[in-house]
Amino acid sequence: MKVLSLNANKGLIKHMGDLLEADVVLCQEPYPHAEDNSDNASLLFPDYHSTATRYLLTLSKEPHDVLHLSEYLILTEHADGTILGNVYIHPGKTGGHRASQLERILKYIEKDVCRIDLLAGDWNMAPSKDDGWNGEKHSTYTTKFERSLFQHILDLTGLQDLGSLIEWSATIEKKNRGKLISFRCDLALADSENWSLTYDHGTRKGSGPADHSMLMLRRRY
Amino acid sequence: MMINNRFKMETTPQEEAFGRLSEEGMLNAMFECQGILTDVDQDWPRNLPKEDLDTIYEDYLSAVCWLDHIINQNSAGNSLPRSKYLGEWMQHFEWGLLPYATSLDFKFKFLHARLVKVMGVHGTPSIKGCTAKEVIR
Repeated sequence: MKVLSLNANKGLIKHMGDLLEADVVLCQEPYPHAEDNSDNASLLFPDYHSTATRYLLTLSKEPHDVLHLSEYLILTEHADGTILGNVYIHPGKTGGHRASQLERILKYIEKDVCRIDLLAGDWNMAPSKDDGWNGEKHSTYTTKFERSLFQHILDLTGLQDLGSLIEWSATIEKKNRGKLISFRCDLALADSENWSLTYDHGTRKGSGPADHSMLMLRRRY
Repeated sequence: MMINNRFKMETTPQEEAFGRLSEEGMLNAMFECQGILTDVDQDWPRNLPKEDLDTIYEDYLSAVCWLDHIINQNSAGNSLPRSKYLGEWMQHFEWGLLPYATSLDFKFKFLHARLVKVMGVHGTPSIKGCTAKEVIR
């Protein structure tokens, strides 16, 4: 199974060519979200089975069942039994706003979920200090509380942060007055025995609107 | 010091709080430029619980106290080395503080006025009335 995860910066339609080979696409910010466009997803992507919210869109070539649908998480079960979570933590204006979404994911998993194979998306956080940079210094954007909730999700699901197991790479980089701000905030949580992760940084360097790298995930069996 | 015992005006100066809130203000301005924050709850920050607002106030206060400490001419910290980027960092910090100062109670307004005053001593103009794009340029 090949899964691609991309924050499309409100322009997925312009990136569809990059995504054709995927069995499943987990997209964050697929279209402008000042208004909720989730009802239009099936019209915009008629060749796929789709499940959408304002910030999230899960597309698959084969039909899927929806296990959970909220602004920050879509959990779907696919034809081969694989359970995939598509995550978007809205940055809000404070760490408290982001933490409250992580808490809701945590509570949902604690209460209702017995197994997740993959949780991937734009988490808008640096999971460890080394994952966020503000110029030459570590970023202070992510709070300790957010990090502890993220760790709790890892502990509860038994999954691993795949990006922490491969060579470090930022998945978003911005320049502000010459200073580079970079984060590894597009994260994939899975069992590293079964899943591999590579990045496609071309999505944010090409002509499309995406400013995040794409996560390319492959299940090994 | 307290005004009519209503709210705290001094606390331990925290450089760390200034750095963190300045970065948050800068990233919020960036997100706003990208249209990511256009859908934030219109009641924010008025709908935040009192305990959260107290923590946020304490954070901003400790940062402003640090700025006072290093910028005010009669302060012992006035001779400490300063980053050449301090001016823009203060503007990012102000961007983060403004929503509280414009829509909440007097203590945040007062803190903002105090920040603008210390920015003036440093020679940095306030960004009140500017757009997010102007703030991050």
